[in-house]
Amino acid sequence: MTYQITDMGNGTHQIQVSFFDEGVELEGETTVKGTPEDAERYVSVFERDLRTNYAHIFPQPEPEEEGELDDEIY
Amino acid sequence: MDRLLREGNPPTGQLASPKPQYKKPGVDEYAPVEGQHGAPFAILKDASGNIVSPATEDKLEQVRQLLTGVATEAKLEQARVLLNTISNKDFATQATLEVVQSELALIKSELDNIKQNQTSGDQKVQLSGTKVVESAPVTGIKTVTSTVAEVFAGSSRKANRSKIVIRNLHQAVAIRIGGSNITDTIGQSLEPGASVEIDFSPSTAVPIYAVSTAGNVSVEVLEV
Repeated sequence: MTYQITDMGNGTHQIQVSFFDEGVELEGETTVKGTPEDAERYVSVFERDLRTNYAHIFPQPEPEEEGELDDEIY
Repeated sequence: MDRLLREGNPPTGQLASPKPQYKKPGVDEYAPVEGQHGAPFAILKDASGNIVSPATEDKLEQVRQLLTGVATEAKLEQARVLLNTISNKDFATQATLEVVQSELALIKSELDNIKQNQTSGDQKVQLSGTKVVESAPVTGIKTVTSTVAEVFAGSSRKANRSKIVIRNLHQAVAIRIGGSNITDTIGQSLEPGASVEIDFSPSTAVPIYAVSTAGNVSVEVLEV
């Protein structure tokens, strides 16, 4: 995920995120009030929400096979 | 006793012939007729006894020119018929025309007002009908934190949205919503479990911000 923070000049910052680098065609954009640091902190929250709400377009993790687990136990 | 005037020196052997003469009006007297240019001569006088100057050829030509512009009897008859057709018409008086003029001025003023309202966007209208959904709604879960951030359902504010519904999913913590000037103590409070609906003009993009009063709060968002 890549992101960009832009000072809008009125005490707000625009956050633009993109998941193209992960092969997912999803971009997001929001606005937060406060300092650039506030915006920086909010990026992770925004990213998490997008991953949750658009989980269906993100690649699912491969399920672990039981045989391999057995090998590790024994 | 009338006696004609006769020549005074007739030819030898002939009786005196009467002279060309005329009888004076009112008396039994005769006077010789005088002539000019081979014809009897006369002087025209008006009722006051003033000598009337005979018209010259130039003056007669002027009269002819004037008479050419005079309507003939046929044209006058046409005019009479035309006047007769409009003689029973109800023509407006000057006072009536002034009333009409005043009313037209009022109408012009009203039209100017309407035109100004239409161009300035101040025209008052009353809409009727049913509000309908014209595009697919967007739903999502958002995390409201102590940072004042815009709240919407999808990856960004839905374009041309007409409504947003926000429901506080937390069981104990309230959030505040409003414009970008809200804080954790200023703004519309949305209590735990409560929801709020906000209508928008689709043509105007208005961001809605939210902030938590304590910790992170999940909210359910619907945009139409």
